[in-house]
Amino acid sequence: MRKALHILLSIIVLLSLPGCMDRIDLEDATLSLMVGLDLNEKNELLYYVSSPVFNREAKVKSEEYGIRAESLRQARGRFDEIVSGVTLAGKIQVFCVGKRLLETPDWFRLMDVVYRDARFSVNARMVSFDGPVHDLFHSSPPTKPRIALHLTKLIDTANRRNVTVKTTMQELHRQMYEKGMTPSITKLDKNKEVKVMGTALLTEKGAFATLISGDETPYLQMLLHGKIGEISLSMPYPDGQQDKKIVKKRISYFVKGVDKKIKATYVDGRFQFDVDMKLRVSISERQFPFDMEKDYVKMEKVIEKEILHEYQKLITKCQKLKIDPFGFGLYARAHAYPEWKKIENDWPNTFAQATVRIVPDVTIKGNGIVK
Amino acid sequence: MKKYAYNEITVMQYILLIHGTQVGIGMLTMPRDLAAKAGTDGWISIIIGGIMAMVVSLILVSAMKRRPEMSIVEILQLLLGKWLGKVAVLILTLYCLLAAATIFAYAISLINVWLLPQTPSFIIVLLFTIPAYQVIQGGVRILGRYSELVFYLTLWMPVVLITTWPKMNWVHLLPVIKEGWKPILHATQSTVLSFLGFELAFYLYPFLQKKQYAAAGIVVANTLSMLVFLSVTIFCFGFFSPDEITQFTWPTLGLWKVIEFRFLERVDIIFLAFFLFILSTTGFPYIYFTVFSTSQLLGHQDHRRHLQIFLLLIIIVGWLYTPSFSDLSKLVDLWGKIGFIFAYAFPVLLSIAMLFLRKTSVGQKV
Repeated sequence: MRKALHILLSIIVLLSLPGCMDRIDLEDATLSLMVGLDLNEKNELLYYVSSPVFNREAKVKSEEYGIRAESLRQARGRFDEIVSGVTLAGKIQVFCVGKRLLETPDWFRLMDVVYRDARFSVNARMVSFDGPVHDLFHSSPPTKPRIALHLTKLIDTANRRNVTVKTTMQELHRQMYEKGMTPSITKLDKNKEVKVMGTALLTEKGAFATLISGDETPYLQMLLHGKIGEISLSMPYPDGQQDKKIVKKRISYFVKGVDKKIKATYVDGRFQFDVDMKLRVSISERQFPFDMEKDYVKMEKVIEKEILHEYQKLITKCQKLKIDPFGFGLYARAHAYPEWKKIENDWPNTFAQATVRIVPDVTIKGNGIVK
Repeated sequence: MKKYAYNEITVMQYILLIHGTQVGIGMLTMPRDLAAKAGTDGWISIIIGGIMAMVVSLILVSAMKRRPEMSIVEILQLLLGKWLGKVAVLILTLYCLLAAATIFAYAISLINVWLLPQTPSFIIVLLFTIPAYQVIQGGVRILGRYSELVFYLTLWMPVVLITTWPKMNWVHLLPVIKEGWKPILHATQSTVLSFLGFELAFYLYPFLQKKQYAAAGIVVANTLSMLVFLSVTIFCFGFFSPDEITQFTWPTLGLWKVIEFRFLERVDIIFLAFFLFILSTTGFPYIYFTVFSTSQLLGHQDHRRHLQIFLLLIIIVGWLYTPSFSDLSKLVDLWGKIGFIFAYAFPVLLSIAMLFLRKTSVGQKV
């Protein structure tokens, strides 16, 4: 009797297992690795998807489709009408927004499903593409792997060298909702080859504000995260009359370590930020003779001056555009809370009035392996 | 001769049983609730809530000390007389039932949202009841061993959570005490529900092998839970922006969603699968003590018959009715309110009553 009951129970359990209705076989799935969003001339929303093809008979190993739809969820239904498998969003690596769409306010609302549906991956890299997204999805250079994988790698490695930021969808969500900062995402462009252009700085609402190049991005990154990945900076050595020469006086260095201290105060009706940056650097390239052993202090001063100059340029540019990709607002909240509370909903405008004082302190720790 | 000689639990099991009962659904929603009420100062509320729970726990243990061999069911009947005592036990049973039902419903809806949106919930209920039966039918000792095992099985979680460290913005936590103490004290309310579980010491005490460690054990259990809540909350505050965190229903799961390894994406799915074990250590003791009380009330020795009926009822209810997310939050709220009475007011009252009881019984002897 007891045995019979146990057997019956086991059968019931086994029978209920196939009842898991979410089971999906890999060959029935279309894994979207890259999703694109764009706006055409008639202001209609376009959705693109790129997914790998796992089939021996298929010649091309990746499929790309673009359709018109009004929301991401609707687009998924349309894709299911075309692709062979069930479109899945759990593996997205790159999320691309076209230039035209990025200029419209409130495009971020289109992303709602990404954050609402638990099965969406939120670790995809956010990319802004200069031009029609169609071009990006339908470019498959013969020397490159599947376009989605190529872009993933491209962005990750570019970020490792700090020529662009790596803003995931989750990070974008944070930057959009955080009152004390404005978002920044990777910017791509394509002429013949897809190319990382640097970083797109967005306004509070998410619209495109400006582009900073790959040379400027390390400065943003250092202020945001300190030292992550490899930071290599290069600068002309200020020595006059060098424009005519072919071999210019340039110096390059690695940043081995960054210690930043940001202090916010409220003085005379405006916020003031004192950024104390201690940089440990190592010279990696010097295209002119220089007596480092004797004059290293002079060299440190030159580098400090250049860093200060770069930061001033960058910050003035941002203040003019009323954006704060550096997150100074976070420090305003941390150190001057009562004043912050008054203006927290109007931070970009307040930041435009703020004073930012950057004090770089450079120590040369290494000079390479030759004199 | 000890009454529960074959069902005793060690101090470790006692600690981890209580700890397991405390760490449950609260862990998922707590950072959001705290941030909504007290901003990033919410972590201070956890400490206050923890201290409150510890104080009440100590009162509870000192009350139970006076009749070490008696379960709460017998104590209540001794205190209030046979019939009134039975009514009191029935109320206590209903409380355990409410807690068990809430956790059960919550666990199932969580799976339905995060893992298996297409699967009807009664199938998940069915799959749940089988391990539940196997563990709970063994009694307190098996429950204790189970809680201990689950605790060891989940020790990898903090290690993985640490990998999010480089993504943290600790500047979110500043300034400490932004708006004064009022919102912090207000937010302490939300931590009350999460510390619920120590009240099960009422039931557990007679089963404890070395009763001299009862007070120390319950403090350790509370501290352990407090540390878990603190670390999860502080990590969530560091990761999510203070303006952003209130957008999430389950920020803790959102944090796990971000973790990614070269060899493994979507760590949150694995976390959630393990989290079901954690939820089971919260739910199982409540289910056990529901059927324990009812079988004692009806004078039955074996609780298994009651357990079978109980689980059968759960399957039927799960089949007929799936609670919506607003029903669930109402249920959780209700449990929080009633739990506050049972876990915080009841031990104090009982402790006073027990003092009174000793005086009269001494008087009777004379």
